[in-house]
Order: sequence, then structure tokens, then C-alpha cells
Amino acid sequence: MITVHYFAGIRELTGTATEELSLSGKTVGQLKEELIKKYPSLQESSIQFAVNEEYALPAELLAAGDVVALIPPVSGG
Amino acid sequence: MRNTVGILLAGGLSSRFGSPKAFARVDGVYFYEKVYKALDAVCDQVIIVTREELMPLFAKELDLVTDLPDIKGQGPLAGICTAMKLRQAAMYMVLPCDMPYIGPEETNAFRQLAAGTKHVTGVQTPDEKIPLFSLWKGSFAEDLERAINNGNLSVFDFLASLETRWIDASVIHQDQGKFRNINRNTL
Repeated sequence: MITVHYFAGIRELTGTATEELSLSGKTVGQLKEELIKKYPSLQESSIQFAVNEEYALPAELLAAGDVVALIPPVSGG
Repeated sequence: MRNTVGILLAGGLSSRFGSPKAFARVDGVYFYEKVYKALDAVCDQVIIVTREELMPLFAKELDLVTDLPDIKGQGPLAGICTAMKLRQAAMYMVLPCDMPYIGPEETNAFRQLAAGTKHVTGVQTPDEKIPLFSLWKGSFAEDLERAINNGNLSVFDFLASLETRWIDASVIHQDQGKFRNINRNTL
């Protein structure tokens, strides 16, 4: 199982702050596809994926126990 | 997860506030206890940087230190520098004792949202940047010490010398009241 955290506007789309998904062994890109299937409105938002507090590329593999965060655009500066 | 130390800043003079802010109460709980809980939830250990005369007032089992002698009383940069020198860690989360409305949910969200931090990530509200609610990737003790010894005590100036990102407080929690910094004794 992996744990996925949602914040701010994304949380409003998903209706939940966090959920557990059995996607270990899949990639971040596959997770994104799954989530868009589940929450179609996610498609339009420009979100970053972080795995265990580091930004993750779509090819990165997910392992059991990973903590994934969907990060809405945050200010730089 | 990387080894993370929480730095609770509780050494301010609280002159505008009139009494040590760490021991002001909200809902019957000391400010410092609230902040400690928020840090403890997402850090491997928490170090409290305070002043000598306040030491006896804190719970005995806590990890309490005062500013290192050569940078003593030089403001928040000195507190952060002291903590980084005394406790090695891969990451540090800083929180001041006068933000008692920040809880474990907010520190947890902040930690996750700070993914990709190069040097420092801080929090900003529409009104202000809050440099002391921040996540630091690795120790900046030597840079801090140099700045302090050169008389540059401004936190903003120091952060401007690093790659600092700011996260909107509204992403962490919609209620901006959570990010209130209690400067005056008007509770």
C-alpha cells in the first residue's frame, strides 16, 4: 500500500485529505493515470508529485510504504 | 524519511508581549507545549532554544539549550545556528513559540509541501512572509555564524542569500488564523 496526501484545491476535488492505494510496484505516471480515472477533474490542475518528500518523475517506481503528496502550484521567490 | 530535527525558538525577549511568550497559554496549554507537539509529530527529535533564566520553567525531560556563548542573544539566526551546531540532521523544521495555532496537521502538510526544497522553504500569508516557520535542508550553521559575526542579524537578508521558496499558507490550511503570530498580549 502507498499513502497519498492531497492539499488545498486538490483536496476539494478528491473530497479526502489522504487515502491508501494498493499501487506498490507501479510508477508515479501510472498512479497519476489511476487518480485521473478516479477524479477526472485532476486532469486540468497542474500538480507536482512528491514521493517521500522529494519531487518524483513519472518513471519513478512506487514501493510499499511510500508516502505520495500531490502538490498544487506553490509560490517561488 | 530523512533524519529531521525540530528547532523550537523560545528565546525571544517578548518585550512587546510583556512576559515570556513561551509560557503564555492558549486553551490552558503553554504556547511552547503547543508548538512542541506540532514539531514532535513530524521530527525525530525537537530541540528548544531558550534563555538561561527560562530554562527552569520548562519540563525537565525536554532537550533545552541556550545560544552558544559567542553568538548569544543575537536573535533568531543565533538560535537556529545554535541548534544546527548542537544537533546534526539532514533537515530542520523551525517554528517559533509564538505561533501556538500551528498543530501537527499543519507541520505535516508543510513537510510534504516543502518537497524539492533546495535550501530553505518558508511560509507566506497574503500579508507577510513568515521566515521562522520554515524547513531547512541540511545545516547552515557555518553560514549563519558568519552572518551573525558580521552583524547581519536579519532573517530575511540571510534567506535572500540562499535559494528560498515560499509556500502559500492557504495550501497548508485555509484558516489564516492558524498562522497568527502572537506579538501582543491581547488574548
